[in-house]
Amino acid sequence: MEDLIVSSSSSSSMLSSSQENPATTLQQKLQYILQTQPQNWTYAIFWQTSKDDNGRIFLVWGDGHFQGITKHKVHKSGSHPQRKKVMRGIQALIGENPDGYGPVDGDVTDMEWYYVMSLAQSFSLGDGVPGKAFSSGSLVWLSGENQLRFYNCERAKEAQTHGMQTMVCIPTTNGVLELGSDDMITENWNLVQQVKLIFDSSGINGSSGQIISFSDIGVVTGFQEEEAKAKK
Amino acid sequence: MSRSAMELDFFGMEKKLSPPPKPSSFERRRSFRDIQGVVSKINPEVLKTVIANGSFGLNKSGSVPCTPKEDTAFPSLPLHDSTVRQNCDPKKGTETAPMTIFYNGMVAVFDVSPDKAQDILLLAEEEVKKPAESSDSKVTSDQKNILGTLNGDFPIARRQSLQRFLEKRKERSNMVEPYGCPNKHFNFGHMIFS
Repeated sequence: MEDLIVSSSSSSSMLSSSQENPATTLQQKLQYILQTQPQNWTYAIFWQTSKDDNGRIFLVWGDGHFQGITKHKVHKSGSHPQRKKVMRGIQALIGENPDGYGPVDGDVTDMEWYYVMSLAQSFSLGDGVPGKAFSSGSLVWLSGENQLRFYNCERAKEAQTHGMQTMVCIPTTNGVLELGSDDMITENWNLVQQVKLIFDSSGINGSSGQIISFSDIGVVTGFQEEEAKAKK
Repeated sequence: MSRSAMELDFFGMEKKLSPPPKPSSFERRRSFRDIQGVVSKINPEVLKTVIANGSFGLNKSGSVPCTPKEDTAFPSLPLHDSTVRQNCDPKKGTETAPMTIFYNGMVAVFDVSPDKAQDILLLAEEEVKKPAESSDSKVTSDQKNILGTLNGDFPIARRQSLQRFLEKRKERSNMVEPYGCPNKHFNFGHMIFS
């Protein structure tokens, strides 16, 4: 993987504008990852590093994208009227225009609830799945209910009880990307490579890392697959 | 503290000023019988609830209070013990006032703080509720977490994420999807292999 040669072409790149707001770029990265995977991932959360008052690093909500539930599955989340109340309260608090999104309709599913509750979470180094991934620098891939339940982490257990069957934490330069799915998805190295390419700031251009051509990413990973096939 | 209305002092409040060292077993039996007579006419569930939530429930677990810390050498009758402590609690600092309860032909008077009085009244208004599913209390604590973070550090990113989430949720609920998930590969798919 270290031998990858990436040419940052200036052609058809969505993000080549230097005035791009970094937060928007992060969101676009999240959406890109979710939408280009053949498997169905329910959400992606980027946990960003930050420092507390004592200078200790911890992980906090950076941005997230909730892709949603695959339609062919019926999720028995049950009715939780309390959740709707909370959502409406939150909606009012962030000062939403009532004409904009309208009231919160329908039941809040387990997975949606899990995603919203994640906003309030933070992890110190080594704490929880994201914290462990970041402090060890290595990937955590939990697939299947049992792995989630017995990983010795509250967040993994909560994910499982809220409908997830797979949870992945990939450490990057300035944080951790967490992906979750209600499907059982086995370890997929392609995905990890893509994430590293997109989220690691030292990877592509060496500069701010903001300027990425998505068209190149696809070519690069395709190249990898061909190499692998050739070796067989 | 005598009142015109008939009042049963079955909690022994009159005695609180000079607690006897050790009532003889005879006295004990007699007062116990009196109390028994009254108590037996009250719905035990209501009585338990009232006691647990009234000022007598000075220990937080809500159980009928057990022996006080001071060595009063009082008998272990729970109804008796509580009266000694009631007005001695220095921590509370809130004013207590008498609360008279008429129930099914019986009358009882308690000295309660305003908070406790409100609790008792609320309790009486609602039926004794089935315990709500434990997830509800978790929901409210979760809510507090979220609201706290929206006002605390890093509020902007969270707010934006929330707004985006709600927006998308609305879109999803409005969307008609006869062909499955049209969003997939919509925005970026054509970009990959250009």
